[in-house]
Amino acid sequence: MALPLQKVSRDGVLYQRAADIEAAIDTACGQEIEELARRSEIRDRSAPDYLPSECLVYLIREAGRNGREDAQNRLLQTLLSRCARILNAKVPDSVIATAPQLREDILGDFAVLFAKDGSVEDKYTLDFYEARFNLAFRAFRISRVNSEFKRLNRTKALSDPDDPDRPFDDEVLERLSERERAVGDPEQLVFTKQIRAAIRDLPHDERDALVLCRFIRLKEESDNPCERTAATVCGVTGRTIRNRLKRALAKLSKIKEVV
Amino acid sequence: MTTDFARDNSNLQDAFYALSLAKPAPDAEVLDKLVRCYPEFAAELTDMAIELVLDPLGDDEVAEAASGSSNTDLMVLRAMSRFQNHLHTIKTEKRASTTMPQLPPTNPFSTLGTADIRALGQRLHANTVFILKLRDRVIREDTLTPGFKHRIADELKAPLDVVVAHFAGQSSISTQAHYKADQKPEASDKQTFEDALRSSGLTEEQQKSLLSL
Repeated sequence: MALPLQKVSRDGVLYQRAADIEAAIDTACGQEIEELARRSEIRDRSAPDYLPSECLVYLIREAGRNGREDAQNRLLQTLLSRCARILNAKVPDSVIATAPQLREDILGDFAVLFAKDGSVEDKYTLDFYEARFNLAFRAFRISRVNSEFKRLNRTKALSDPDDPDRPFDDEVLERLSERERAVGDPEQLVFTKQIRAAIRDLPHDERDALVLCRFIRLKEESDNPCERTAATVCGVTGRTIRNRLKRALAKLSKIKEVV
Repeated sequence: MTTDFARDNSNLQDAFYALSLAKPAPDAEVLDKLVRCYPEFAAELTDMAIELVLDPLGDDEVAEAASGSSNTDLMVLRAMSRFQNHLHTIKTEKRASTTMPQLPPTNPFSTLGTADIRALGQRLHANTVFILKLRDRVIREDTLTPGFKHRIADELKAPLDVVVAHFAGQSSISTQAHYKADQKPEASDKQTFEDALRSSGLTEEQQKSLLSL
């Protein structure tokens, strides 16, 4: 049986693996390294022998705890290959000038987590990766990319104020959520990617207002001064938030004409 | 290029992981909950939530299954090399600490005079009481954030491992300390970082600033 996770959230809840991960670990623990290495190379997630990344993290940590360096190295190498492919796709050269070096740094920093695992400085960070690997690695990647953006001091100009009284054109966002629900629709991927790319290209103030109000669904503003709203989060008035939303939606509505 | 992630506040990293694991695309409810848990990182969590919304998770799974390239292989080799180097350093340090006679750790604060201690307090946006707690190892090392330890090492121009070893040592009463009792008082139990901040007469803002290092 797999060792239980130790990481506890700040509100006192113990992180846990999913039941299928626990089962996959139980099966894998009884297998030889040759078999595990073979299974770790399988990329098709639907294949019966596919080793989930959460399970790989457990096996690598377990090999490290037991001093089985060969197993630790072989499995870590496969896991890093998976991460390298994710990084190549998610941090492409077009996103940031230093992308090649950044990808290497992220992967290297991630590998170091395994070296530090169990040490005083870093006891249980990898527990997150055993709970939900891709979600944890996504947070790690985004945090590093953001740090790099800040380091390069990448800023976008604030947009000009405008008349807030025109109604919003939410059609593009409605279509986005409709298509996101339509799993398997080949058009969905193209459309979603176009919209997300367009949102990313908005000036930061407009992008933040749009995502906070229409995706995260914070209120634009509130009479209750204690309530967190898009206005309080951005440190502006509700009117400014509406201005920014209007400008963002006007830009996005151009995509509607193309798609 | 220097990489800062490992130096970042581990609490902030935990907050990011917690947000990402809570829901693939965070909503107002999840964000509010996380901000209540980590009020000191409200702005950072909001920024991260925006990024998570714009970062569809399905792409990761598609990318993971994609075919590799020589570029990927090279990245992996370099990452493995960093892993091995780091592991070697950790093992060497562990071996050295078990074979070396157990001398008391060097106190990197020992050369600081009263004026230096006051100046250090100001630079850290803290006060003298708090700096004396650091000097006398009153605070539990495992509760100090990595960023804070790095900052102290930078401020004292001392190697990080010396600073960490100092904090990990037994708490002591400085030889320079004055006391009214006939006998030198014994060091009491150590405090956590947060308790030490709270009991040093620091303002809320100062406490937040030190916790976020």
